[in-house]
Amino acid sequence: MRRFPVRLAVGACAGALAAAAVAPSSLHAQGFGVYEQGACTMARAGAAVASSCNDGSAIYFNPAGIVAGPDSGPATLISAGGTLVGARGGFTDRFTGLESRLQDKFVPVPNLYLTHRIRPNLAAGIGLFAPYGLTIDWDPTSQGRFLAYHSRIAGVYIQPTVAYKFLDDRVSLGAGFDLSYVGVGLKQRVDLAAQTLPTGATFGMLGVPTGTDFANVEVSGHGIGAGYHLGTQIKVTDRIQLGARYLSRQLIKVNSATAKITQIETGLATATALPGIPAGTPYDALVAPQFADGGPLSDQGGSTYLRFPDQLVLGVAVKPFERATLEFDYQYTWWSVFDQLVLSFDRLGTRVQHEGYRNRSTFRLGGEYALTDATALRLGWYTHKGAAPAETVTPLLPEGDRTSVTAGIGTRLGSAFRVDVAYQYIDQADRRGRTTDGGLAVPTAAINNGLYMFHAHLIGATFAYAF
Amino acid sequence: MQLRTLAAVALAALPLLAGCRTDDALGGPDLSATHGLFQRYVAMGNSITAGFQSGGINDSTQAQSYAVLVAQQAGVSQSFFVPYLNRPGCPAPIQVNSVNPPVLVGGSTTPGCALRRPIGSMPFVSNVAVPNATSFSPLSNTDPASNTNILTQMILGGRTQVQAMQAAKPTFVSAWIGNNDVLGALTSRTNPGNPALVTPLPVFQANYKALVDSIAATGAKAILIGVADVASIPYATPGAVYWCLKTGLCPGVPAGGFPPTLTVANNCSPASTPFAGQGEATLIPWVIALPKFAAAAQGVPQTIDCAVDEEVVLPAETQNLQAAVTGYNAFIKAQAAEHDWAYLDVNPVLVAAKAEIPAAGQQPKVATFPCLPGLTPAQVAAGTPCGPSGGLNKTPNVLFGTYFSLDGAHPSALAHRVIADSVIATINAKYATTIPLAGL
Repeated sequence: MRRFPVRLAVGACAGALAAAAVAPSSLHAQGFGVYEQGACTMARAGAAVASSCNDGSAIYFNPAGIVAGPDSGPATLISAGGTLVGARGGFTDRFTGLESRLQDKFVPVPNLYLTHRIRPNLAAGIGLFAPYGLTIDWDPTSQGRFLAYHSRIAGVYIQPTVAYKFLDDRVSLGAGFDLSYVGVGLKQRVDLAAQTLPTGATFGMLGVPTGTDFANVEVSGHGIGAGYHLGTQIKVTDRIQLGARYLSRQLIKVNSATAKITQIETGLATATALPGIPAGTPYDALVAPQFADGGPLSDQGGSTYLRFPDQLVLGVAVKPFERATLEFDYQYTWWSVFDQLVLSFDRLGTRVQHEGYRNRSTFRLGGEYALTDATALRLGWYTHKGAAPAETVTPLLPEGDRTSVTAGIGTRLGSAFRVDVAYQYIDQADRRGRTTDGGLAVPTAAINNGLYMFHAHLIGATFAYAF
Repeated sequence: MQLRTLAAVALAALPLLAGCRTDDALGGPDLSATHGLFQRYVAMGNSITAGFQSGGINDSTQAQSYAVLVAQQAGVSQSFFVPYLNRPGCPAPIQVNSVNPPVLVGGSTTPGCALRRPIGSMPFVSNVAVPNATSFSPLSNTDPASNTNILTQMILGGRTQVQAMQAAKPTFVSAWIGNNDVLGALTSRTNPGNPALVTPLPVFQANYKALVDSIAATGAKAILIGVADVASIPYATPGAVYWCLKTGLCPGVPAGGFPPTLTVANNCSPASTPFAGQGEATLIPWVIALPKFAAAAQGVPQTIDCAVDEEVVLPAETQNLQAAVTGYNAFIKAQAAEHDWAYLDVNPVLVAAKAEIPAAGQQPKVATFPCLPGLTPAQVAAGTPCGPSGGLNKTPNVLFGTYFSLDGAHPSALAHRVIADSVIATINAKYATTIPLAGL
C-alpha cells in the first residue's frame, strides 16, 4: 500500500476553536478580544471604567461599578442584550489581483447581567459575557482556505462579583471570579500539491497544481479556564472620577478536540504513467487509503491550549457641566501571551504555529449628554494598533490597526425599564498578510502575498429592568 | 469652565496622541504599461512557448521562453508562474548533437525526466504550454493526437491546457498552437513529410475554434500566433543545396568539401540544371543527412537520394506542409479578427532572417545548410567554414544559425527575444499598450 506522509496544516488553526453557546466575532476588537458587552458602554466606545453605565455591564467594565449607583430605589437590576457584528472585507493578492471575500453575515454577541444591592455600600452580581472570541467565515474557495476558511473562538465568562464602597462613598472596590467555557472551531482544506510522497517529493513536483483540494478538515473542541477580575472607582470631586480594572489572563486547556476529515474528489488523473502508477490513475484512488479507519486522514481526537491575555484599564471621567460626562480610558492588553498555537492530534502529530502577538494599548474616548432626566445621547471613539505581527496576518485572524466611532441613545421607559441602543463603525487599516505558510515552519513577512481590507458595522441593544 | 476646556483639548488631542490609520500598500506590479491587461497573463502553446530548446527543457531554457520575456517586459514577471523543471531537465537539452546518441546537459546520453521545482505558493500556472502539443491538446489529454507525454503530467498535473488556463482567471492569453500539427510530419524518422501526420484543415479548424471559444469564455483579451512555416526552418534543407555544395556546379556556390564517398543524386539538382532535378522542393532532414556524412567520412559510401520517400520530404509533401500552414494561419487570423484580438504571423520574420546574408565571419541567423562540425581532428581544430561567408564552426555541434537551437527545429534564446519583441509590438499596436521591447 502506498503511504503518503501527510503534513496537514491543521495547526494553523489550533487557536480557532469555538463554543456552541455564543459566537462572538472578533473583527471588531484588538486581537480576538471583544469589548462590546453592553449597548450603553458600546455607544461610548467602551470608555466606562471610571463611570459605569447603569445596566449591570459594570460587571465586565469595572466590577466596582455595580455599587456605584444611588443608594435608594430598586435594589435589583437585570439586563440582557446583544450586539450584531457585521464584518465586511476581503483579501487581494498583490501579484494576481485575485480577491477573496469574507462572507457577509451578522454574528450575534449576547450578554446577561444581574446585580443586587445588598446594603447601601455593598452589592453583588453575576454576569455572562464573552470578552474573547472570533468568528471568521470565508468562502470555502477562498485563497487562504488551506490555512482556514472558518475559524471560531468563543470564550464565555461567568463572573460572580461583589463590590463595596467606603470613605464616604468616594472609593469603591469590586472583585469577581471568572469561570470560562471556551469553544473552538476550525475548517480548512488540504492541498494535494503540498503532500509528500515516500520519496520526499511532493505531488506538486509531479505537476499536481497548487490549490488542488483533496481533504476537508473540521476541528472542534472545548475547554474551561478560570481567572479573576478586580476594579476600583474613586470619586475625586463631584465632577472628576477615576477608575481602574484588571482582568487576569487565563489558560484554557482543550483536551477534547476532534478532527473530522473528509475526502474531496479532485477529478484529476495522471496524464502519463509514473513509476509504479499507470497512466490515467485517479489521484483520488491513490490517496483514498489515507482516509480509511486508522489512516492518517481518518477522524481522530486531539488537544490544544489557548491563552487569553490579561487586561489593565485606567480611566478618568469628568463632568464639564451637569448633564454631560466625558471619559478617557487607556487599556493595556498583554497579547504577548498569545505567542504560539500548539495542536496535537492522535495520528497527524503535533504542529506548533508561531503567532508572536505583541502587547498593545488602546485609547478610548466616550461622552454622554443627558437630553432629559430619562434620555441620554452618547458618542465615542477609540483606536489601537494591531496585536498580530506582520508575519501572522492570516485568514484565521487578519487584524490590524483599528479606529472606531460609536453613537447611541438610551432612555428609560417608565420607572423600571430601560433600553439602550448603539451603533459602531470600525475601520481597519489595510494590512499586508498572507494566505499560505509557504511551506515554512515559521513563516516570515517576506511571504506576505496580499492585502487584507476590513471594516465592520455593529448594532447593539440592551434591555434592563430594575425592581 | 476649566474642565470644559480640558475636555475639549483632550478630545482634539487624542487622535494625534493615539496615531492615525496607516494603510499598507498592496505593492502589486506596475500594470500601467498594459492598462491592467496583463494582470493575469497566461501563455498557451507547445514546445516553443514552454521554452523547449535543443531537444530538451529545464528551468534555464524555460526562463528564456518568449512568453516569460513578454511577462517580464509587461512588468508582471512576479505573477507569471512558470512550472520550472529541475536540471538537467525533462529531458535534458542536447549538449553535443553530432554524435549518436547525442550527449545531453549533465553528460548523460539517456533521456530522463527531472521533477518540477518545489512549487512554493504558486497560485496557478501561467505558462501552460506543453511540448509536443497539437491543436488536439488544449482540450484533451486522452485523444491519441494530443501527444500527451510526461511533460503534460509535469506541467499540468492531469489537467488540460484549457483547464489550467481557466484556473488562472486570465486577463490576457497568448496562444501559439498548430506547429506540431505539421511538424510531426516533417520530423518523422520513418517517412519525413508523411501526409498522414498532418492534421486536416477542417479538423484543425474545429480544434482551434474550441480553443478560441474557451479563451473567449474567460473574457480575456488575447493574441493568436500563426503557425511557423516548418519548411523554412533549418531542420530540413532543400536537396538542391546538398547537390550544389557537392558538385560546385551552381553559380556562386563553390563545392562544400563533402567527403568523396558521399554521393548526392542528380535528382537533388535544381530544376534549372540539365539534370532537371526537384532539389529545390525536396527537403532533407539533418538527422537523416548527418549520419550519412559521418559514415562517408569513415570511408563508407553513402548517397543522398531525393527520390527516397523514407529519407526525404518529397515535393508534393513539402507543398502539402506549406498548404496546411497557409490554411491554418488563414483560420487563425480570421478567428483573431472575429474576436477583435491581436494576430501575429511569425513567418515574415523567419523568412527575412533566412534571406539575410550574414556579415563576413558571422554565423547566419537561419542556416540554409546545417553548419557541420569538423569531421577530422584537424578540421575541428581549425574550425569548419559555415557557408561562403559564414564564420567558423569551432564547436563539436551541427549549427543551424543563431536563431535556432541544437535540434534545428526550436528557436534559440536569441530567437525567443526576437519573437518576444514581435509579440510585444503586435500587442502594443492592437491594444494601445506601451510594453517596452526586450531588445537584442
